[in-house]
Amino acid sequence: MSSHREAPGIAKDPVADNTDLYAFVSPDAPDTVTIVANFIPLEYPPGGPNFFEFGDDVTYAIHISNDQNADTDLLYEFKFDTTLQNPETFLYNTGQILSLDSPDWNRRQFVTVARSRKRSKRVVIGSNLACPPCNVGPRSIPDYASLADAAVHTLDGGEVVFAGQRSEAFYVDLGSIFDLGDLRPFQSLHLIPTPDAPGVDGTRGLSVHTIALQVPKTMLTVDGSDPTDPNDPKSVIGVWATAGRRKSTIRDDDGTVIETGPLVQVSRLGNPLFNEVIVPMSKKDYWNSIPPRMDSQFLSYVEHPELAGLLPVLYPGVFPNLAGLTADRADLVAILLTGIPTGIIPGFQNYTGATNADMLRLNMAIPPTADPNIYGILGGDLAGYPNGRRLVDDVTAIELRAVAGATYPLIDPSYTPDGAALVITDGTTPDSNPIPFLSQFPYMGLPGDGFDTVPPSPS
Amino acid sequence: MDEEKMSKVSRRTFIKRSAAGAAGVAAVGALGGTPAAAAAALGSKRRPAPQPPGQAAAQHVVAYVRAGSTGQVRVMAGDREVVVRDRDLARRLLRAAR
Repeated sequence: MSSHREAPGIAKDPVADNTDLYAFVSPDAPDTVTIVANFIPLEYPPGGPNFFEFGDDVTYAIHISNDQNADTDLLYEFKFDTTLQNPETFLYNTGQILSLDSPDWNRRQFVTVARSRKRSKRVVIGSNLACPPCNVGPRSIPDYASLADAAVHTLDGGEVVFAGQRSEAFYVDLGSIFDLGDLRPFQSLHLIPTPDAPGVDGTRGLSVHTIALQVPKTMLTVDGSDPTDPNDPKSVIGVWATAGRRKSTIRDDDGTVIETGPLVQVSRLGNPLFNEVIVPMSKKDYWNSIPPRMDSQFLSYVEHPELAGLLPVLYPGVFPNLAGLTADRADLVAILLTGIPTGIIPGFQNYTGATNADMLRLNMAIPPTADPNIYGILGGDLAGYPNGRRLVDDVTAIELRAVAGATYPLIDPSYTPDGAALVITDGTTPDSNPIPFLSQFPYMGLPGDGFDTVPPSPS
Repeated sequence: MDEEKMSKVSRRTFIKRSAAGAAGVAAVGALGGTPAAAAAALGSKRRPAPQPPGQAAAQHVVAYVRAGSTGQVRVMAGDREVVVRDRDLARRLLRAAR
């Protein structure tokens, strides 16, 4: 599920659970990059009276590496502060919320943003910026779009930030993938066959909490230059997001919680599905606690992914060439751990050095595509995953295809992928969710409202 | 990784730093404690600048002795953790826990 509930530990701590990470050249402001880090999986919009919110006790962060060593060179941190207007009511709102300072909005949240660079001081670039409320329903919030727009803040340094509830952008047929990989478009080919059926978007209508940050490209390059040459290593950044909690938690007798000690990283996300699909369950919590530069210890799981062995078993006779592919998967190592070097794909590279590190790598010199192909680079669109990640990108299909052998010819032209490897999908697309993306920052669609959201139907 | 973040200090040094850290928590405001985290994330070996002595007793302090530890006490206060190597202190804490 990209990275929703992907590890046993973080599945019990949804407020700190980093569900998805996106990084792309802003289509309507191509001199900037937009980074979207989502948290809190599977928010059901009617979920009151204590609606979803960021954790005041969590430090959320976006890391950027820009000098080919997989270390944090630029760090943005986000801390939240929640206030009560009326401590004597159980209600989230006691009347209509018509503005971000509405006296009838009881439980409000504010974000403070800090920027740190290597060899320079940490700077608070935005303090107590208002977040929007959750989308309770049209009686409580008659104009949610305008209210949420007011929570887009332009900071002194040139960055733009938004933090609040949004419609889930990740689309995936959860039910089929976790039921022994019974991908609905290909059920008749499965080891336990059933008639083929259309894919079902398991996250349709649900929400997440989004931290969206738009940064001028010149603030992201190592030397402040404007990245215009796709072949220049300085055009490439590595991005990952984290959440951290204090090392010690004491639950005192009077119900108060005391947290002390340094931050301990409890969630991490670079490439979608890395921790979920590549890392074995026994090591997922550990993976969440370490920085990308320590990922060499997971190299063998990338070179020989478990899923590549499962596909020929689950779909007998469909993946014969994959079944015979026993070599180290250098194609997956390049996509997930080092970036794709120059000379593999004409006009493209997103190599970040020899350090094996799970980062989302974006070549900022590749301009945005007016008509994106949801299969990204596999679909011939260099502006899509694994060159960064856009909201529309079908990362489930892209990674399924890559693991199934579609990308192995990049490093061994003599290998012929199975026909299925080039078309495998879970049957969902961006249109599986009726809530559209926005054409401007923060791009994530408006969250469904609690009153009108219909619960899923049991089978 | 933990070892990278921690300082190995004497008990005496710890007491000094403990007092210094008390004021540090108040000084960082809404992003309480994150300078140390930012420094760690950025790979800096530098510690946050020492703060003037404050009211050490006014903040919560957590002491942690790992099972099987031989004389190592991890003490957390505010956003900091220091490791004290003091067999007598560890022994007395373990005795108190019985």
